[in-house]
Amino acid sequence: MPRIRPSTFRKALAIDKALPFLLPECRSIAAAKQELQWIKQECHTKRQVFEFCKLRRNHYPLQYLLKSQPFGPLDISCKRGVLIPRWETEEWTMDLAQRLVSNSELRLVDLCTGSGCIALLMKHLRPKLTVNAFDCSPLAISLASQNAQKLNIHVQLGLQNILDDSAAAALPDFDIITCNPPYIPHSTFVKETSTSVKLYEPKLALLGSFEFYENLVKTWLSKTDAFVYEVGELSQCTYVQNKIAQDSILSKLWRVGFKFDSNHRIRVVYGYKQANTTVDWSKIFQDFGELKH
Amino acid sequence: MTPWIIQIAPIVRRRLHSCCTSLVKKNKLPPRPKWTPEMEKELEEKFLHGGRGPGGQKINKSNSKVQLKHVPSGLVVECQETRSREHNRKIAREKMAFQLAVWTNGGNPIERQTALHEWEKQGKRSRERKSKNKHDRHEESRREERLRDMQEEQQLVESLFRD
Repeated sequence: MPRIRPSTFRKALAIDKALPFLLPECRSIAAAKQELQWIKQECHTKRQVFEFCKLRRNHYPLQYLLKSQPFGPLDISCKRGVLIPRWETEEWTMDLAQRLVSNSELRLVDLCTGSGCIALLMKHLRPKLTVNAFDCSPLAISLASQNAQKLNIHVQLGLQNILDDSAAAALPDFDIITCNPPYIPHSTFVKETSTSVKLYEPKLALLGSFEFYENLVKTWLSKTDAFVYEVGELSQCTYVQNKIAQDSILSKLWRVGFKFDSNHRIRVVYGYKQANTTVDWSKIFQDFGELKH
Repeated sequence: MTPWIIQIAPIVRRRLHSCCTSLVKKNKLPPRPKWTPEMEKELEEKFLHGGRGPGGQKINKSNSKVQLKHVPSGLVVECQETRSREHNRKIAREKMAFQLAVWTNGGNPIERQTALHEWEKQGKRSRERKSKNKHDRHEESRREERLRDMQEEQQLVESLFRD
């Protein structure tokens, strides 16, 4: 990353005394000005603005400072210890919700829910859904329930480690499963992850490679008719695809596809059953992404 | 006076006023151009989140930019005013509706713009008038004071001479 010129710092200082603190994270004066405006909207005193800007210099995430992140039409609360919802997740969740018929009475399960963003947004956009959400972190579950209460959206939350085989066994069958599992492998964590994420966001929600995709094929596929999992890299997509293709029963029953985000990065692996389902998933997932299997 | 004159007088007065100035009111401006579903079909929407990089959980971007392109006219608008992508999309569409209205008007300012311009000019004129009035008033009072002072002085001098 190119360094920021001292002249840029001086220019920023001339505009506002708090502005130079935002430059290391925002990189440009225009972006820093925008962010300063958002900070000022939330703060009551000048001193607090300075405090926030100084924290931003140390790469503290803006969402933890302002305690919220817009997610579709919702405003999701954010807290230290729970992953901040990303725009990529927002994008595919909005897309998925709009594909479901507005009065569809499906049963949805959201795993690794974190702040509850996916579950809450789906329930908000399609109120007839029955939504269950699970996470293994007590912090995440308490924040998700706070969010649900604040937004007045009813979802059932459960504290459960989904990698446990017994978690799936206790649930009745459902129609669709969404998940944003931790997907950054240890090998790329130091190199590719941004400082702000590395320092301040929970590693529990970030670090993982194939565990969750393996767990999906092993335990959750038998309970559901469709799945949508967020991924970080292509190998995770092909892992799911290969696992399904190699299994003689699954390969006949399931179709698998990949979806890219608007930044042209691979973002989602999804799949659905071709037969014995309550709704025609092939129609719902038409043009959602590229079908691979 | 005859009753006829009494009846006609207010109307004449009003006409005289209206031919002098027609004031623009801020709450009665021509409406903003509306976004219509037909426009949606001719759009290309792009989301820009700072280009390169792995994205996803690895990066935490707090801003989002929406770029709209109207294909037939080639007009492009951008919006990154708020943190919410949905809100930015809405604002970008309003901007685009406005640009399109100007475009269909052949590049000339639309009714609302001219009205707003007129409103600004009118405000400026009224401010100038008020300030001029104020200065006139103060000037008047100062002159009076000066006159009074001179008179007092004269009286004093006269009274001194008399003694």
